[in-house]
Amino acid sequence: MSPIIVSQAEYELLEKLAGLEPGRYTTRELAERLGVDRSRLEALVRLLASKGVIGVEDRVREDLVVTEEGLAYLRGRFPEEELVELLRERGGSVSVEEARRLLGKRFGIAMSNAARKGWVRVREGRIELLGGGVCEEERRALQEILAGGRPGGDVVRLLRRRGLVRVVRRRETLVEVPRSLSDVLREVRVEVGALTHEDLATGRWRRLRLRPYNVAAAPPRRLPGRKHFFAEFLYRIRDVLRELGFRELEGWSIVVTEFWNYDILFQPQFHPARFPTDTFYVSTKATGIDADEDLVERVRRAHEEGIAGSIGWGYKWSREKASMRILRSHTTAVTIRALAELKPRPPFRYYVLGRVYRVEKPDPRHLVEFHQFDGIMSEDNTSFSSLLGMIAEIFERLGIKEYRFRPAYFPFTEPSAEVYAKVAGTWIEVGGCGMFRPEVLASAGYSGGEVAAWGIGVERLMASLYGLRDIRDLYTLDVDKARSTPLRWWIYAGVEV
Amino acid sequence: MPVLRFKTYRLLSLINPRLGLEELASLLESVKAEVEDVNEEYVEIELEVDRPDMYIAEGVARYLRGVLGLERGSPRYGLVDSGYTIIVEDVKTRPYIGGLVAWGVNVDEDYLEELIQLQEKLHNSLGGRRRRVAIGIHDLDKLPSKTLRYSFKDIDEVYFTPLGHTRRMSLREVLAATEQGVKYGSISLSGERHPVLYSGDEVISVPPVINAELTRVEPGTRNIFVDVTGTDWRGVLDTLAVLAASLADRGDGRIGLVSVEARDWARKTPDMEPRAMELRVSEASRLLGVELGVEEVVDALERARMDAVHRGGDAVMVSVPRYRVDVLHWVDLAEEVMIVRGIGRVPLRKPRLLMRPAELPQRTWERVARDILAGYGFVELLTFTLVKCSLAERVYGARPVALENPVSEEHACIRPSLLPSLLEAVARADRPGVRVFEVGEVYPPPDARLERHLAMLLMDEKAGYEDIQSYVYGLLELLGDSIESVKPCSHPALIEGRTACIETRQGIRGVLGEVKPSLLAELGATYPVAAAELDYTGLQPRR
Repeated sequence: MSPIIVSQAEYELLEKLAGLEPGRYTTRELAERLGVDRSRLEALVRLLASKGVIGVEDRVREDLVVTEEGLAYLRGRFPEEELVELLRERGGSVSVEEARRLLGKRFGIAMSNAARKGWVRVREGRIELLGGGVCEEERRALQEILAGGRPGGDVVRLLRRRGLVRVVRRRETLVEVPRSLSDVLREVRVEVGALTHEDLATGRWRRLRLRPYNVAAAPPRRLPGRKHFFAEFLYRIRDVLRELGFRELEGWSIVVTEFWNYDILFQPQFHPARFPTDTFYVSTKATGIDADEDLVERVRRAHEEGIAGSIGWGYKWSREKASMRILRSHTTAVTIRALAELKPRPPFRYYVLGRVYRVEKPDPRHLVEFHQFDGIMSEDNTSFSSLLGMIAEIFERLGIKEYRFRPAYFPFTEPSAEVYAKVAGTWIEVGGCGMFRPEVLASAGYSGGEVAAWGIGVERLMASLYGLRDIRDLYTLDVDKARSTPLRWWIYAGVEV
Repeated sequence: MPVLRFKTYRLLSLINPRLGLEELASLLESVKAEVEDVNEEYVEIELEVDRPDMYIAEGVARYLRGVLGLERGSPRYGLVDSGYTIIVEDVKTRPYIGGLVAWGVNVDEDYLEELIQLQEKLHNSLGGRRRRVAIGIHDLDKLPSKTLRYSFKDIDEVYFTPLGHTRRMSLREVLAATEQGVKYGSISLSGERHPVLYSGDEVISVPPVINAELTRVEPGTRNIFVDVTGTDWRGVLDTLAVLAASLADRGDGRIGLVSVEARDWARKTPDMEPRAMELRVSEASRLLGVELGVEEVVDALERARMDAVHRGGDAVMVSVPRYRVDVLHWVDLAEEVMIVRGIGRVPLRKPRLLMRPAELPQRTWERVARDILAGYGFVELLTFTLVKCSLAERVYGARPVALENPVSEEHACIRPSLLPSLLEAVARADRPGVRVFEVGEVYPPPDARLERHLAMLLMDEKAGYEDIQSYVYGLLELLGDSIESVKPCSHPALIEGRTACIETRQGIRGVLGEVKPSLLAELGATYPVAAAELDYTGLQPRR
């Protein structure tokens, strides 16, 4: 037989009922004796009855109630008692007129009752006292009624007729408390929604039954404190590059001279990107070129007459132009500086991941700033082929299996290629790569052989991975959006290589 | 970079009429063109600035016919004397000029459109937006005289009808009142003097601004005269070579030389002399990472429309046509070989070398700090480094480094602190229980040097100093650090007397406190905010 399941409240009531003598109780009595709310009790006993634990019977009871008038007589005097008293004061007789005047409205009631009881009589216009004087029977009956009793005999009928007592019909619930209740109590299981510390600490869990869930019902959503979904992807890229042996270059400002962003990279000063329509110019107090003079001279020569077997660009190179402060337009401004200033010996692999800036009106597809990761590497036999192989490896490790290269042009690399990746079914251009030109390596004063370089933009990849309609959502100031955007990049990240 | 539009029928008839559109598109993609659109009517591609010789259908066809193997080696042009002469005076701001003549070009509407496009794209690439080089294209038969004079003139002494106008104006008026004048008028103006090109007594051009109406090229024009002016010879000669080849391909194959005579020198233009270069097959192989044979290198270069001869050993002598202005070094030839063979034939050589890179301690610190803060229930934000100047200045207390050419007010200054954007974010949320943080680089004035910061903000019914203090102390302790000094201090965004500056054993400095109600009110926030900003640039990990 399956155990009887009761709620915690039902159980608590059962416990209390078991402490009573077996028998029948009205809920009113129970409420009083057990110190519980009656309306709650009514509901609980019915639930318990439906489980067969106790009996419940509804019935209608007639209760006697002392009326206002009855109460007034009881506290003071009945009219007939008043009449007798008057007669006693007057020597046993008083005229009808006087009595009527003194008793007023009560005269009629006093007379008829006193006469009925044989206490007085009327002779020749006067009332005469015969005996008696106290309505003992009525008083007793009223007291009893007030105390909740039910006096027997005609007196109740008499009182009702006089309007001193009224009958009130009441519904009441009778609860049958059986003898076996303490056994039942041992058998039942209390059903609860959740296990509590107290349940466990007191051992109460033994008689608990945990209510089954509707497991398919939707839960409330709880949002955590959280690392940013885009920042996480940036760290993932750092992890991949570190796995591949790249060391991060760090510490350079986004404000650079045109020299480091363009000139040392053999990008001629007349190149259309080197105008305020494409590059952000910055006002700082700093002037001049932040590089040593030998380096500046080599760059001038590379542009004007050529260096390392090149014919150069053949124009008049301007020092002033090279000194202008700008926001870097690519992170190659950092990698080339590392090459020129750290003068690493091969083998080396360096990367930088940082923000770059382009003059664009911000809209759902464009940002004025975005992230780029640039790498440079050199080891035995570094070639265009090993460069493409390295980029392929990076994409594979980021979980992007489809990528391709297209010949392209960058002033500082030769050969060069653009890199495309297929994300969520669409080909997107994500970056460029190439072998640093001999002019660039010679300008930088680097003599360690071929150096391969690449730069890949992050936001476009990210926007495709997330199917973003508005790329600016990556930089949202909406806390809820940042908190509730699900992570998607890792779905790609875990694939085997 | 330059986006070009060609008539499809022109391209196909010049390359190979049997070529399909898809074939054409992939062919273009293989030679550094980014195809934007290909349809029956037009082909739109984006080319980089290195191949101006392909800025017109004739140039594209010249190269692609080679790649397809329909033609080989350098194109041959007949160089003939045109009988035209330019006398060059001392034009201080724009000293170099050259010219060329092409016959039988027979301009029609579609060609005119592409010719103007070629001119404009050359201006923006080789021309450095007309500063370095400017081009004037004229109807040869409308030139009043075979003798031209390039002078530096007072702008009040020069009168002509500029192209597209109907009345004569002074050059002063042209510079001040025409659209071209306003845009380009200041480039070569020096005081009151400006370059002017005459044919006989008539003005035909005021480089780099505008031509005269007199020599307008229009449908029906048969023969062409071109002047190119600039600030260095190389730019002028490169541009002329590109134009000469393009026009001769459309015309009768001859290029008309123009005598250019200055007081102390004279030369003929255009210069179509090919450039001789040696390519060592072994070096090209090493650069590309592909084993190349001499024969296939010669074959590829010939298909790239160059002359190539095997000179013994692994040396190949290459003659580079003058219009290939992108070829500066043998590495450019190596790339030509790669392109013509197809980039798909370059194998992807996987990295093999094992390296052991370290991570910067700052990065590691960042990773741990982010974990701890997320654990505390803070939400990380990533915000722009370019911010609104007014708010940044208000929060930072000094003028941040500003852009000279911002595109919007929202992105006009470089952030000196992470607080402005985070304050904006919590003000936008404006409800109790908001906790945000950001880790990132800031670049404070005066010289925008890099600093690494971590900022954290909490907004609540009550958000006091102790609240933020407990998080900051907890964070630092969990990072194995300890506070070495705590002093009351001031901060433009924080309440005086409820603000502290701290320093830690590992070299972190920071400020924390309660945000001023005046600032919150300005931002529209109605709940108190406590904030901290830590600078971990000088992190020194200590045991």
